[in-house]
Amino acid sequence: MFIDIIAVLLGVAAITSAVLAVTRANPIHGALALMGFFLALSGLYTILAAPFLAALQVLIYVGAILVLFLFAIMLLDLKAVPPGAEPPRPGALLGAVALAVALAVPLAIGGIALTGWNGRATYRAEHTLGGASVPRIVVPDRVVAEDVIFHAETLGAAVVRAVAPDGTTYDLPLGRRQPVRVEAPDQPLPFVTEDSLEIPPAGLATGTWEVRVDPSATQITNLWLEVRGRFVWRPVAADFGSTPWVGLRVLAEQPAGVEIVSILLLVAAVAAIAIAGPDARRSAVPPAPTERSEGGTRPTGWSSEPEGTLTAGEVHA
Amino acid sequence: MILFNPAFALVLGACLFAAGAYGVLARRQIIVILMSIEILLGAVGLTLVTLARALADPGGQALVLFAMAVSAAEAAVGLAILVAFSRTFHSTDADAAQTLRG
Repeated sequence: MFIDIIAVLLGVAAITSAVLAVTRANPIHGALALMGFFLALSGLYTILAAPFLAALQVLIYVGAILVLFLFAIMLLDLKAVPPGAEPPRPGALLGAVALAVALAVPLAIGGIALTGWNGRATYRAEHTLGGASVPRIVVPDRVVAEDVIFHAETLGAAVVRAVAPDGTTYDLPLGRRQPVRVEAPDQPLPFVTEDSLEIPPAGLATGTWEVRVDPSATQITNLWLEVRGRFVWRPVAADFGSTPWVGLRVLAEQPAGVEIVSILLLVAAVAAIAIAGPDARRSAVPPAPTERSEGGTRPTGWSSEPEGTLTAGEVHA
Repeated sequence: MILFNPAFALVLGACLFAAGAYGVLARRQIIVILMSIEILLGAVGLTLVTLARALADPGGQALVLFAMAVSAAEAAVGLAILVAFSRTFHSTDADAAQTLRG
């Protein structure tokens, strides 16, 4: 419960800071809100059993990418957008809300289906006839049994036993007997035993349940096991998401991906220098001649002035 | 941790993605658009980590690790493009790039 409260707080912080980051007029304020978003996301990663990714989130995003953003903001001397410079776009807001609904509804349905939130599932044996065959019921992963009900209908006395996946056995006491019908007058009166036993909740019912019958039983007419349970998170190993775990998954199982990503980073570094380096200076639009005469006041207020931008070429000039 | 429902984190990821998409669609300042792209990547990463936990599948976390590296490359190239854009058009308004308009 405590972790739920933390998760909700982190979620609210993430939403708030993301909305602030995209709506603030001043890009410095937006970058600081973005830092809040990254930190909240890192906290959510910790809750979601990804401590290594949480550490990397802070290291890479806050430590490297955000500093790069702040560097660009200060290098280009970006100012706050004056009111009215960016006309409101209600279509974009409408599109974003529609996107949120279109994404959230199927994701919520899928998430609820993953956990069986307020939902239950019943598993029955596929075939219920006894004798030599052994009814089995396979309970999929992530199911916690809330109750297991063991039904048997036998003719005559029989010992019926349910075997849980962990090996625990449950015998069906044959208490109630009632005659059902007389097949033939010269035959002994058959008795049918109908009984059901509620096995105490066995916790994680994942696995194969079996129903075994004493071969001395005269006749088994119907026999089944019913497991009613709900989904829970699949249990994970204690080191799920830890540094050696992620390292093994990434370096040992995806070595080609690591190589491709490292080459991509190298190419990106070279490309960044090639795009923004001193040799790549070309001006498609000449600066407005009135800009200089106004004595430092920016006509648009938030566009960078070419005169004020210190470039590598001007340092050498 | 068992009580932490994946539906909550998945819906949260959808809302964060929509917030980032609004930034890309509505804002014209290139640096804000780049920051919105980071929000988009973070929202997808949250979804991947949630499903990795819910399905006990290591693939989601490995994918987020790769996405982090790609996003770092994207930020470096994107900010370099921003610097080149600012030199070329003397503006950081995305609508200033109109040289192809006839």
